[in-house]
Amino acid sequence: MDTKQRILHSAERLFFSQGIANVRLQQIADETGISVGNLAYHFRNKETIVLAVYDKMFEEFSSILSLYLQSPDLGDFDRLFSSCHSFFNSHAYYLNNVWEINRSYSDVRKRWEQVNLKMIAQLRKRLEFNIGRGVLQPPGKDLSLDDLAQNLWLTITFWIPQQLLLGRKSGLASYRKALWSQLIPHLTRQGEKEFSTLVHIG
Amino acid sequence: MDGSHSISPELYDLLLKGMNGQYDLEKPGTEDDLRFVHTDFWLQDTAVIEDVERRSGLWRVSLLFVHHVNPYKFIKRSIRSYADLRKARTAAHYMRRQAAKDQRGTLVVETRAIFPGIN
Repeated sequence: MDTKQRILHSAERLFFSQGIANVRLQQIADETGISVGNLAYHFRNKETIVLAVYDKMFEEFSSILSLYLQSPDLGDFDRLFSSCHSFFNSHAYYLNNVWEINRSYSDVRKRWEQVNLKMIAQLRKRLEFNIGRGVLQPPGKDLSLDDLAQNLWLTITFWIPQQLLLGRKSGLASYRKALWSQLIPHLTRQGEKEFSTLVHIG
Repeated sequence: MDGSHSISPELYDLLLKGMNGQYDLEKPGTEDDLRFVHTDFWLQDTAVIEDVERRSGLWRVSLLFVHHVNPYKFIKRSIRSYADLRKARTAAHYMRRQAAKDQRGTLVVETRAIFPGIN
C-alpha cells in the first residue's frame, strides 16, 4: 500500500469515527504516521482528501452496479444484497457523514444521487424481470414497482446505521433477512420453489 | 466513475430493459420450437412443378409441391408476378430448380395413385 492509499485509509477511519467536520489534517497525518508536510505533498487540503475518499467509494459502488443480472434468477438479488452489505459495512463513514456531505460537498452529493438513482432503477428492472419470469407477483393497485424498489433501496442503504442506532449488530444474515422479508410476500408459487432452492437465509 | 459521464435516467432504463431482454432472447429453445421441421418433413420428398398463369393482367408464377408417392398431399404457393410471359417462364424454371430436391427433375409424381373417378 503506498502512502497515498494509507492516507486515504486513515482518513476513512477518522471520518467514520469523528465525522468529516471534526477531523483535522494533523489527525490524519498522525493516524497515518507521517508529517503534516508530507500529507500536504500528497493532498493539497482536506477537501481533496474528502473527494479522493469518495472517488474510491464511488468506484467500488460502480462495480456493484456492474453486476446487474449476472444470472437470470433470484440468486441475483441475493448476490446484490451480499455485495451491498459488504460495501455499506466497510463504507459506514459515508452514512455517518451524510448531512455534512449534503451541506458542504455538492459534487459528492450529486454523484451520490446519480449512483443511487441508478441503483433504484436497477432494482426496479430486476423486479420487472422477475415478474416477467413469473416468480414475482406484480404489486397490487395501491403499491407500485417504484415503491417496492424504493423500499428495497432504503433498506439496502440504511439498514446498517439503523441497527447501529438500536445497538444491534448488523450481520449479513439479518441484513439479507430484512431485504428478503420485503420480497417474500410477492413470490409466486414458482418463485417460492426457486427461492427455497437458491437462497438460504437461515 | 467520473461524474461528468452520466447518462439520462430514460436511457439507463432502456439499457437495463435491453439487458433484461437479453435473457429472454438467449434462452435455449424447446423441442416445440422445432416441431415445424417434423411437420413439414414430407416436403423433402416432393416433386416441384412450376405453374405460370395469367392473373390480374400479370403472369403469376406459382410452385406446386406434390408428394411423389401420395399426390393428394400437396401445397401450392404463389411466388411473384411478371408482366412478361417469357420472363415469368424463365423465372419459374429457376425457381423450380432452386426449390426442388433434385434439380434435374427426375423425381416425378406417382400419377397412378390419382383416381379421378373415385366417387
